[in-house]
Amino acid sequence: MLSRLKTKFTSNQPERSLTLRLLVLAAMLVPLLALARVSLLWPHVLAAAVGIGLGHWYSYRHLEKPNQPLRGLMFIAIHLALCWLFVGLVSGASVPQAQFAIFAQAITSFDLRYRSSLLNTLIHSFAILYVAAALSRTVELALYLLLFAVLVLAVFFTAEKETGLKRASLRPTSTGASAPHRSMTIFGFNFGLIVIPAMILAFIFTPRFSNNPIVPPFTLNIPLRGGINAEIINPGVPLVQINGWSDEIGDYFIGFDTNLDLRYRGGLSDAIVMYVRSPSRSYWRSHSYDTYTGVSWTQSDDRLIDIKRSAGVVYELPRPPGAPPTLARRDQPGLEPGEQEIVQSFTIVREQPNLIFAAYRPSKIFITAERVSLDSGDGLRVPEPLQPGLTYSVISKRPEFEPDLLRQASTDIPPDIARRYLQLPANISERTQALARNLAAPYDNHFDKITALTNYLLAEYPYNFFPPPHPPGAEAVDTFLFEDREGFCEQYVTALVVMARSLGIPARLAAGYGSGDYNPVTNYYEVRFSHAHSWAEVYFPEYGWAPFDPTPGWTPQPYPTPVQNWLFANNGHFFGLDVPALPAAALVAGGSSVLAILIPGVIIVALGAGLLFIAITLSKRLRLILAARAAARYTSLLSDPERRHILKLYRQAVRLLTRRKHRPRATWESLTEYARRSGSHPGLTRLTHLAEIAAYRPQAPDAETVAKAKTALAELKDELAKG
Amino acid sequence: MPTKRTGFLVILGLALYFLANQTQVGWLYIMVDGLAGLLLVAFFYSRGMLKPVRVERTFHNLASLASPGPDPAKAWTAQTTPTGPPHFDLMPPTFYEDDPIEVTLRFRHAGRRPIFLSGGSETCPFAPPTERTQPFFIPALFRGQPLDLSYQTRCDRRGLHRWAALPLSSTGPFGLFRVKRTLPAPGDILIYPSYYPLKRLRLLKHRGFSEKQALRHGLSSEVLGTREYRPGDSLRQVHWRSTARTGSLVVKEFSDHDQLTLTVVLDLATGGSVGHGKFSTFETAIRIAASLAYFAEQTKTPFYLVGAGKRWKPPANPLSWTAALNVLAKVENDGHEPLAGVISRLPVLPFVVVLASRPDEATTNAVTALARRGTQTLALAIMPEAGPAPASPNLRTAGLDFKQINSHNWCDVLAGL
Repeated sequence: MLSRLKTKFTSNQPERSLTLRLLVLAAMLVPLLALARVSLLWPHVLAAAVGIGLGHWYSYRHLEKPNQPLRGLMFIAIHLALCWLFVGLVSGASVPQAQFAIFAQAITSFDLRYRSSLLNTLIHSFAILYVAAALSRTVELALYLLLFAVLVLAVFFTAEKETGLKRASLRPTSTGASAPHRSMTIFGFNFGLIVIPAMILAFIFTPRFSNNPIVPPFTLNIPLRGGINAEIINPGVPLVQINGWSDEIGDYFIGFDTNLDLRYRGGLSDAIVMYVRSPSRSYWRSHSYDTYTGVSWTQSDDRLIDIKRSAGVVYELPRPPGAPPTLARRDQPGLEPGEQEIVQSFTIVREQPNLIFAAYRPSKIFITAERVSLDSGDGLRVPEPLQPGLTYSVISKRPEFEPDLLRQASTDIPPDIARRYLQLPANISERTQALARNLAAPYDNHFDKITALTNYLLAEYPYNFFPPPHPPGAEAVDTFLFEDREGFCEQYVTALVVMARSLGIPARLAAGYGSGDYNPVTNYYEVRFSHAHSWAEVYFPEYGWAPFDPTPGWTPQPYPTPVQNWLFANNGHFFGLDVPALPAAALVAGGSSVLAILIPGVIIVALGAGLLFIAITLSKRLRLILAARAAARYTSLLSDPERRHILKLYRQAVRLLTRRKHRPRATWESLTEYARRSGSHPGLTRLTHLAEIAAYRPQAPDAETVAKAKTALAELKDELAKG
Repeated sequence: MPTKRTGFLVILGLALYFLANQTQVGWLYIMVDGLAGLLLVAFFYSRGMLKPVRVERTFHNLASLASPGPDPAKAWTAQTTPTGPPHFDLMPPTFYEDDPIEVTLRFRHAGRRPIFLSGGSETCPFAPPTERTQPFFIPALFRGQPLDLSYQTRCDRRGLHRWAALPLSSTGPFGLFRVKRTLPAPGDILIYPSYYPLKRLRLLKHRGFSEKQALRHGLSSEVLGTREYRPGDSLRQVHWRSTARTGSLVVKEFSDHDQLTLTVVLDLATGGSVGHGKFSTFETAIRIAASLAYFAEQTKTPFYLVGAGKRWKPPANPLSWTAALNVLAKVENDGHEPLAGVISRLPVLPFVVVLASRPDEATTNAVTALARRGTQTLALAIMPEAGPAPASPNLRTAGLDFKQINSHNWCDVLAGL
């Protein structure tokens, strides 16, 4: 194998195809453009593009021999770029890894002599495209991917064509087609028409093993500094709040505040606030309220508990918020039956309150914050509002609320829960309580009662962002249920919670964002201001707080859906189809096991391949060094004038023979072989012997040897003259 | 069959898939699925892609198209073949050793899928060893747009040559999967041995050959009977009375007794040849025999070929020029009987030429005995091109016409006979 590799390397010829080089250059520029679009690194990318262009030009103009000083400069430049990377990492520069990648490509483009180098640089481009893909949240990247794919395929085709034509002795004088470019274009179009459906099919059926990350999530950002703040800081809060009628659309959501005022009116814009990557559809919960005053919600307990930082930027919660106390007492940190781990990453686009949004029930948070704290309503807080550009990750343990189990749940409410979550103001109307009793009368368990209340609200009350303003002193739930009979989500949830509490069922109002619009291409949930939402959480002693959403138009299951590994199973609505989910759980488990078994092997193979690559590179380098030494030794031999003289005489002899219709010496022939095959010429034989002495003997020839060589050449001339 | 490039793309796809699962970046899934889609389509595209390809092979004798040069053999060849591109349906082309030839491969594609990046190697069975294999490459082949590949070579060896099927492979359209197919491209070509256009044999002229030749054609010859005309018969032999009576051409048949005949004895024993390939002593003997057949044709002398091969038995009848060329094109030295045995079985004949590569003692005795029986005998000892000549008795001392000849001087020697 080594000999084959050696042969491969030694037979590497400089790539002279201008077409191939231009195609590679074009293919290299596409990922740069894509990266510039998504990361806004325009100055870096433009500089790199110029460097790449110059590098290609230089490589093409200096194909014949490597420029060692230039290689030395490249070596230094690469290390400078590495330094730039580390400085960027420390100083918090924008995507320093991407910057290093593009600079490294610009540097290495000055040594693209061989086809293998050109193809390797395409791998480098692919890596840049990977970075762009990781940063991209729009479908614009599809254009760059398509363009890159077309150019790479054109490179493949051209490379194969050039190789084939180079090796063949029979070649068509034309392509064989009457209009080759037209035929090729038609072929490319048709091929693309077939590939795209095949790709979509593969996309739909590709399983996503998303809930078993081997590499834990990480985040790199400037830390959020500051101390604990009991207040919810909402950067979108308007300077003047109007409690009453409004038709304005803004960025302020009343739920992200210390005090949720139900009298406030105002719509929410469709601007994207964050991108969420999650294997499961979920509401992104932030916090909850326990105290209802009749017109607003507040938190009765403003104490915050610091969460211990376990390592670096990792905050691990002692127990998942909202979980029953029994869950906190368990010794093993594994998953309960029915639980699933969900890894989410949130990228903030517009400034958000100092709340951490997460799928219900978060267990680990990865965020560059000096502190993370837990409030009394199972909400997570950071010291400062979340800034655009911040990325954090959360691992949640998805609970499974089986209706049958919830029906059998105990109704013995712990006193502290009862004290906080059965609280009602005195002005709750009798008709509200009567309605609750009537709706719940047929049922004997809390789950069915809550379900009946929820269904009633869902069925009987239309949604309206701008209901009429409440009269002064009016209780919000009574007005909503019996006067306005329409409203927005907080009114629905308040009505449900109040009715539940009136029945003796602990409940609270939870706030956060809805799941958002899922983009199956980017795999992001695009969360907008208008997705801000509230829902209710009801307490079941053995199972903790279970969410219920009484607002029409929203999903009736506000906690995370089971992790789906098939695109169509999780996102059938995207295609307008009600596609049943495949039994993917077994596949996921099997696939995960297989992946877990394969990964160590893959890592070992990758390491081995890396070591082999290094060994080959070093051996290649060693061979070059040895060749350079040999060349230097030959050069030093030729520094002797006697040697040079004899070799000059030999060259004269060869020229003389060539003029006399003898063939010149072939490159593969030794001097002796050439002399033997050139016929019987004693003069040449003697001169050849002397030339070999001059070329190979370590001792320099003397003047006498030179004289003998002259005599031998004269003899050869005589022999040739005589014919 | 997937290529290395496909293997690399699969590994790349798996790595991306791993990263996609780790990071949940949607675009990575798209890239993985793009790779998968590409490989799937390329796989199915390549399957059966080469089935609709057909290939035809045509060949032109360039010597027949060229103007007659100083080489008399080429000049003759040019005269005996039609000018312009030959029409094989009506008249097969005539090829002789060392004739330049142009072979054209015409590829036709009847399928709907264009074929890309296909190649293979054409093996020309009669070309010089260094030119025998001709690798070819076709970047693109479209439906209804045939493509020609031509090459020129030289008819290096006489014989009936059969082209092997044409191996064709393709890695199209992007070098991801290799498909192979062997295209049936049948084709036979008969290459005659080269010869020297020997028009006179002074050696025989001095021995009354011309007189016997006159008898051969004169009315004084004994007519044995008549037969139907065969192509190649001289018009002088037509028996006009019988022709008029029967309505078809009838020619006279003469007795052999007073006819001068030319008999060439070939050594077809396996070990009777020295050297290999084109310049072996056996091949030289074939060329000399062809030259003598040409002489016989020119002088209307019945020509006999004698030898003891394994697959070829000498005919009892004289050979026409064409028949002689056909025999000499195909005959091989695959026999077991020594030359001496073949010579010793010969009856008394007017004129015998013995072509011997290794004239050993037994051969010498047999030739001497043949001469003593009254057969005018010319012994040609064919010497190898290089290396030590085999030790052989001097036939000249036996009173025979004897010449040493080799693969380089045989034309000159024949001209001097």
